[in-house]
Amino acid sequence: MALQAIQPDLAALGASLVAISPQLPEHNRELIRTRHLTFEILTDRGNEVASRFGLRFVLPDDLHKLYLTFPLDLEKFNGDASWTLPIPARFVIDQQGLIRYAESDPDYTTRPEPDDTLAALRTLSPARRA
Amino acid sequence: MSLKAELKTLRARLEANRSPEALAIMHRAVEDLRKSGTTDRILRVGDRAPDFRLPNANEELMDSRVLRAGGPLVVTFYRGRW
Repeated sequence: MALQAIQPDLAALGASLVAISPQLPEHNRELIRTRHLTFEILTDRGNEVASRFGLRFVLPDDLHKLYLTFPLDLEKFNGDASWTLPIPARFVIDQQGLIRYAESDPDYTTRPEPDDTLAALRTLSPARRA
Repeated sequence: MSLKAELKTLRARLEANRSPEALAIMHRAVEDLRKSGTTDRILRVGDRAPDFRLPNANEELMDSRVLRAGGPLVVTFYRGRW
């Protein structure tokens, strides 16, 4: 994950980072172990929190059937039968709970640029510029 | 690895050995999602972020109010490691 690479910059800016996905904690343990991640990965069962951010979608039937042939049984992987996923997204939330940066893209092969996240954080904490 | 290089690797991993028919279904789902209006509901800059309590990899509950108390909180949503 490109996010791991900016962990020192985030720390210098006084920011913390969490990733959220619907997959079960055992998969997050595996990811942290194999990729040497130092940030928390949280499990959002059924994409309930993703839904509150406006990110939850139900997979269309043809994609659902296709995933089963991969084989990828999301029901088993996520411990939830909803066959929903979050639209990939990143937010910066300030200490008052307001969203100060938001980026999302339904294309699963793209990711927000880490530099944009850092630029947003620098505007929040000018005194701690890295 | 740069983000660009990482994304190339990501695309290769996600789409490796997929038939043209499978790729068509995967790509159409992305386009349909874009056109569906679903993305209009995504929270924006200036909106209040919903607070949450979710389990980490060790099944300990993490509270967003605690996480953002000491400084800004970056939250990334992703689909999964598969």
